[in-house]
Amino acid sequence: MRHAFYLSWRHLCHYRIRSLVLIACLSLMGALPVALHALLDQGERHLLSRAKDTPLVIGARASGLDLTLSALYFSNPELPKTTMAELERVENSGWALALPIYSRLRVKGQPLVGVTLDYLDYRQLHIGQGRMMATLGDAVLGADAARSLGLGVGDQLLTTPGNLFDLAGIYPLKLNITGLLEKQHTPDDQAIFIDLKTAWIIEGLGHGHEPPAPPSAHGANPAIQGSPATYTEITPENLASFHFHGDPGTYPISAVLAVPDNHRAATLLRGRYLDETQPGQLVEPLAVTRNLLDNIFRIRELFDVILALVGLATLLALSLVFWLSLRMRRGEMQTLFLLGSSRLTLFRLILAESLLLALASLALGALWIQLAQRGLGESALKFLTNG
Amino acid sequence: MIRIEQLEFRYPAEEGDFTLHIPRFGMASGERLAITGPSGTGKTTLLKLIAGIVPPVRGEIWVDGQPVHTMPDGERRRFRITRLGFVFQDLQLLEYLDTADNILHPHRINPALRLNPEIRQRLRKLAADIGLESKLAQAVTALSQGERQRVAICRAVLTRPALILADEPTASLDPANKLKILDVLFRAAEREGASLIAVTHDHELLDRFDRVIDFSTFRCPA
Repeated sequence: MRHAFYLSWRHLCHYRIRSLVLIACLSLMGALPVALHALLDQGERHLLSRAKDTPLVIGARASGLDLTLSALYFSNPELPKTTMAELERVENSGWALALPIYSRLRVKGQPLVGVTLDYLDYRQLHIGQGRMMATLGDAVLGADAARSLGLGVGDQLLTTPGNLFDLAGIYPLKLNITGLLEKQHTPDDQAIFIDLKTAWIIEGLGHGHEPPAPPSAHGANPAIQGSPATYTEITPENLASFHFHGDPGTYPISAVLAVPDNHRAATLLRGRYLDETQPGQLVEPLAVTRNLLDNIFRIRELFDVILALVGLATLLALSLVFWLSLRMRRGEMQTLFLLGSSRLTLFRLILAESLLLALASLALGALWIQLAQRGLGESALKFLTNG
Repeated sequence: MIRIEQLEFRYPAEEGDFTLHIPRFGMASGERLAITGPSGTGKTTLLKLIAGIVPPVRGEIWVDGQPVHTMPDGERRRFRITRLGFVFQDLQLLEYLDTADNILHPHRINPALRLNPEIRQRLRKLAADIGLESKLAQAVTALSQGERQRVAICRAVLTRPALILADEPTASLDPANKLKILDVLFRAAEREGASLIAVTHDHELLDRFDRVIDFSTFRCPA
């Protein structure tokens, strides 16, 4: 068989374009369904893992899927907002740890997420470089967000109406990058985290400005001299001048992540939101995600059928190519016969060539799958959660 | 070396309804025989019958003391590859192999022939002898027609055959190259102590052979 492999190898090398086309077709035919399944499995694992880590989500009454995706993946910035009163309601119940999330802002395509430090603790987001955000205007970047924006510790990031999702009520503010988070392989890697209050300042609910000028020598009233200048950067010097107006209970948030103390607390909390006339709703991300995955799996089954049919058609086409190639090689077979080759030897040569093609296709297919998993794994997750 | 008695071979109707009948034919060991005659008279068919590539309808073919006509397929094939060397009219070289691999090809596809260092050594000596030494690593497609003929001759004699069958070994060569190739063939046969039968249309080469047979005398039309 050694000589059969050698001769087949020489044949494949001589007709390398034909061989490469065959290998590429065979490898893609095998790799496509495997890669698709692997990607979906990976996406499923990510989705379920994130959902399992987030027991309950409370938000404004709207699509439960939208609320889940907004709270867990910071997608869908148009989701109706809830208020801090909802957070206080959960906190006052004493049944759960309540973590507010404000996820409607975007900077250069990356989600700008207002949270409290409790959120970072709960998600076990650790600082890789720099330090945690400490004051208004500080921001820490997820690993992917830092790479995507090309920013590091000490840089500044300007939020402008032009690069934020919503033009209405957005005030430009220079964010100070104080730290970069370690990569977690979760949607948190994509986010820019700021303190919730910083998010409200960007929304125009809080601001800092120069103190009103004292009455002039001519006795003019400062109120009619125009509004004092509003700061676009929070510095140690002007930090104390920042303040908020209105009832804190009306301040907006996108959702509240609720981590119940125990099963009983979870049940009691669920009971509070059974009344559909209430403005708030409670969803269980795991149930919502499973429902989403059920729909995806139905599509996957359809994909499988289509892939099987395409694979069968490709296999038939390749068999035809192989058969035609053998017919074209009749002269060569005749030569082999004249030189004393037996039918068994001819069979061995064809078998060796088929095995070499199959092995090369397997190797290339494995490479396709590896590349797909590395390159498209997180893209698939983004597609599932943003789509 | 060869003895043929009442040999008859018939091609099927779709291949020309041709019948070859040779009442008696003999050839001595070491003899150099030329067969000539018009196209379609069965010269190549006789070579194939002697080589056991096609079996006769009736009659006897004895080659090197062996009854080729009664041998089963496998034994006939083994006999052909171990005792005979065949230079085909269209050379039957494989363009995906280089010169050395083409010459060694029978050793790779026939379990009866061993490909060992001794054979490789013989290949190098033979190639040097017939002027192919510097061409061994070249693709056969890059060789001239004369060089390709030499490759086919080299392949035929590498197995040390008792009989060399050459079908139009000088076809499509210019007169100077025809003589050179014939010399190569004669030298190779002499070196191996092999008998030689060559089919040729080149009348100017016939006087180089020990014996010439005008093949039309063996042919009986259907």
